[in-house]
Amino acid sequence: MSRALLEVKGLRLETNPRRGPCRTVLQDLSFTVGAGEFVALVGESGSGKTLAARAILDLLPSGVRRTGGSIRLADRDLAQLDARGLRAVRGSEVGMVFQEPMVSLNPAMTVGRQLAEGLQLHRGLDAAAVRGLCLQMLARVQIRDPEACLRAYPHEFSGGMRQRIMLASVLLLKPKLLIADEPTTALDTLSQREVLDLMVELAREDQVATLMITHDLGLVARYAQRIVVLQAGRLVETGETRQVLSAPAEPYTRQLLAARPRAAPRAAAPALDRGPMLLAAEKVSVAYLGRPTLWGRAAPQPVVRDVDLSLSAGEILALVGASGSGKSTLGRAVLGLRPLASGAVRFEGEDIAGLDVAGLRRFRAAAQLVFQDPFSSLDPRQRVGEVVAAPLRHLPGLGPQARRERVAAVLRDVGLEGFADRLPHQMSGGQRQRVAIARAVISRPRLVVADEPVSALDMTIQAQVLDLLRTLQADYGFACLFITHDLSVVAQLADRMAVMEAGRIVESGFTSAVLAAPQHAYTRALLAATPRLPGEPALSAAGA
Amino acid sequence: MLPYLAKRLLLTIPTLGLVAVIVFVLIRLVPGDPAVVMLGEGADKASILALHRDLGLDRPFPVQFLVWVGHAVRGDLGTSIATGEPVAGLIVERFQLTAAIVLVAVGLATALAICGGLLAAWKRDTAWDLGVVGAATLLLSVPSFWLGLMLLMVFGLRLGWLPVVGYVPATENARLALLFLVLPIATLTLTESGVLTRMMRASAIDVLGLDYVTHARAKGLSELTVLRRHVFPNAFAPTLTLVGLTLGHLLGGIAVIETVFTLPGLGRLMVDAILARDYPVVQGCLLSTGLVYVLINLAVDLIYPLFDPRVAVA
Amino acid sequence: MRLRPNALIGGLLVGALLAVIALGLVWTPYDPIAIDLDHPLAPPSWRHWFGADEFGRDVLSRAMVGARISASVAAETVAVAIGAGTVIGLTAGFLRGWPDRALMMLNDAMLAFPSLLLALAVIAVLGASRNGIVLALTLAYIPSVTRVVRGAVLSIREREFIEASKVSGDSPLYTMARHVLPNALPPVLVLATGLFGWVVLSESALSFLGVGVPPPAPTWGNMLAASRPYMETAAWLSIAPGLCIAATLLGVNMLGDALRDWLDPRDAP
Repeated sequence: MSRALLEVKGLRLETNPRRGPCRTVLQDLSFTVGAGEFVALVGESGSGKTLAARAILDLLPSGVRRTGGSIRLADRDLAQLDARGLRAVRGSEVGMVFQEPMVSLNPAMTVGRQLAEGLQLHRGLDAAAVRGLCLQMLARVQIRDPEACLRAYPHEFSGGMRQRIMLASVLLLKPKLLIADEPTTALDTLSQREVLDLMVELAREDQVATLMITHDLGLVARYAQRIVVLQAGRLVETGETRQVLSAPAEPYTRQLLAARPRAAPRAAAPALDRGPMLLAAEKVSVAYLGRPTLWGRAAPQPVVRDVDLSLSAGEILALVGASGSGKSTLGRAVLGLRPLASGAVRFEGEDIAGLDVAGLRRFRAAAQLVFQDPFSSLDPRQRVGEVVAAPLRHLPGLGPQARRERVAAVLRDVGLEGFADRLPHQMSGGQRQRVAIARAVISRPRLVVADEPVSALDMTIQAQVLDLLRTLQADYGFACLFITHDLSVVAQLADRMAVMEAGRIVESGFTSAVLAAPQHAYTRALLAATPRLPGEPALSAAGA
Repeated sequence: MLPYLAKRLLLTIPTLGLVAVIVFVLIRLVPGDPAVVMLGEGADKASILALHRDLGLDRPFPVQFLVWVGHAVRGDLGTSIATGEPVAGLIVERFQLTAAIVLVAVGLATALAICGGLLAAWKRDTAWDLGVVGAATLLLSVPSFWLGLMLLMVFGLRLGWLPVVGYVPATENARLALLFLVLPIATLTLTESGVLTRMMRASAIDVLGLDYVTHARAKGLSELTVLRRHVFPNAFAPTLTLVGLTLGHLLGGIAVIETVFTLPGLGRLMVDAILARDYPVVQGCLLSTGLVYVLINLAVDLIYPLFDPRVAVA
Repeated sequence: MRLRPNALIGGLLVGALLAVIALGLVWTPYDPIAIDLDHPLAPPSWRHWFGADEFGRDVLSRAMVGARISASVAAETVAVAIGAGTVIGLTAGFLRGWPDRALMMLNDAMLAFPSLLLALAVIAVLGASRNGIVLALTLAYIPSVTRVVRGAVLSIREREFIEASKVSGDSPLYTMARHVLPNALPPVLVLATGLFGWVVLSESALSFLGVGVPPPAPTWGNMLAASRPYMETAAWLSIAPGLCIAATLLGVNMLGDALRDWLDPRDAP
């Protein structure tokens, strides 16, 4: 690497003093990106990685401003450019891809017009030439019908497709540098792999350097040549990816690495003697009501089809699938929260559809749910103590004193001693998820359905919450239906696993067996797409 | 797209039916015998009975309703007790003036709101923003009829630039008619622009925080292009709904403006009819206002997909 | 928490209004309905700060009593409309299905009449009186409240803590009372402040049209209506009551903005 394409030196960002006290959000950050190089900017939420990326093109939100540093692109300092000079660089020399494919394309404009915008502005081409280039580019990002795509609106595409369109819109101008801000965080494992492979391939063909912002070290290991680690607005460590990941110099980097879920001995030695049957789903189908039309409703949309599933007492079963595979719906159906189109769910032998009021109350106390989003699953107006105590209302024979003691004990078990009087917004995401877990286990349930309980959390927090779940499961002895899209979590946690695709269970068995010899093509694809560090043991032989 | 339009059109039919029911029931709630009210207290039994027959009041309620609706659909809203003129003709004649004022005023207010709202959102938390929001809140708080009186006092009485009282139909003297309309339109434009500006600003602020606006900036587009092409259409959609509501709401609120400027519009017709207990006219005014309101909102819903194509799918 | 200018100015204006109303209960400079034919249309002076009307009645005294009438009409209307609208909206959002659709269709049909027009029509039926005005305005504004409450209920129902309550074993009615209602209240509270302003405006408009609170009881609206013939000779008659209405609305609107900012969850850390 001779001279760097992008050289950020001493970058400093502060919050705008007009809104509250001035705070430094990024301190003295320096890094470089060479021509054609792939660099990853890594950190957890609040590390300032996204702000750092946005500062390069001066696209900071209004509450933050740059107070120091230089940003050299080739031979110019972007920090010194005026608005006009900066606009000439934006899009043309540096392109940017955003995290949320659902909100990064303008919903009111056709894809064609949005693609054409940049070309018309920077290259001054006529309509026919623009159209030709757009069609060509859409074909390169593997959009099936480029002609139709130009006329369509963004909402007509899935997240993965939108991210391809986004990529096309940025690479159309053949910039020298591509900044990708968590480009696939919102996508499921398979689309994530496809979109990133495509991005890297196109960048290589067009000799575009890439700066990717991410929190996922697996992706870094797979794609990046160099890595820059940020923590709380400070540079922690930087270097060759291979070197940093195999021999991290800083404790924080080691902590990040340690937080990655990895296969635990538990899955390696499956307990062959399963306990008594706790939950059985028999030929369960769930359908959503069809869209209302002029004359009533369209045909119901099946989301879960003829699924058989069983769970023994004290066992952890992982339910794996992509978004939209019906895994969350199935998880709610076994709790009686979704009406079944056909089939039956038996809990300890009893059909839960036939329960009377008292029976339903007993079932609710015995079967609980932990939600994915710890922000939406807690009533913002309830204090932690009240939230956690809620299920106790329906347990007979508990006096107020006994309840208080029970709440205090559970809060201690989840590591939130003394938090009873907090409101949800006074806590971090990880703490809120602990509250949700405390609520789920306080009634000593025999079944806990955990719906992607860690996917909304930062890496290091994920590891802590997973540890907590495992400890609680061992102490309290509940069976757990663990819904996830992440195979590495499955390998670490689950006794058995079931793989769901398009509403059906396509494969199931002991975790180690399934991972070692996946039978179904979908499972194999999922396994291959799961990012992994070089030194890490493979999830299975087939995944290597 | 087509199913959306068809569905929206069909949904107006039950709403219109209910509107008719409400108007009918409301007028039937008037205490006392309508015939006595119409003929006056001293009327003799025979003529009351005759009027009952004429009005169909001797028949059961649902039949009365259907007969009334049947007449209304054919454009027959009965005759005014006060003048003996057909109500439908009266309403059409008065509505033209009201519609002209309301449409022009709301159009101007919308234009003001778009410019002011976008500017304030773009320059958020600056003096510009403060100025626009302050002015909008002030305009929102000033009663239209009082603002009208004050404008009349300044431009009509003190400065003598504009005529004070009366109205000349445009067909007789277009220039003079226009002069009479300047102040009422200015008054309504100012008072209605307040709420619209605040709405436009709020939704523009929401849109400015979204990734696609940053994406547009990251392409190198100028701020003006970003505002015009990416912020305006998306921020305008909610404001458009409010414009529809404002148009409808003004059909009621215009009565006070017409009173201030002594204009022979629909609102004044309705108020005078209420004061004179001229129930056929009241009924006709209510029904036609409800109809227009439903049609305006239908129109808004039909053009809404131009600004937000997502709704056409739902 | 910083005191925002909205809250400050709004609080001052509304506080001033309340103070004037309180003072007017025990003392006014003159008897607001006492006729003094020696000084008709007296301009503002040290004797009559806001001047006197065509019957020599003191405008300031009348405006003070008018404040009480306008504010009490608005307060009663808002209380009843918010109460009824909340009950209807909660019921619709709770029951869903066809009862919801039927209620909402009726509600939409009611909304098809501009509120002032609906109030006028109800007054045509009931006749103009103070309580008639309250009833008419209440009926005119219930549909708007219902719509807001139902919208809030529907969006809250989609949030996961509602499902969490169900999983805990709570009955739907308990969930509604314990989780839905408290979370639906902030938007209703903001709506209530806006509604207060609209009702003050509508009431004064009705009085201005001659179908409001009947004279001789002074209201800002009928003071304005009575001032029209004297616009050229006694401008102060039109200026004072209008300024009162505008100041009240400005105060209520700014207080409402401050309330909205304060309750906005996006402002929470």
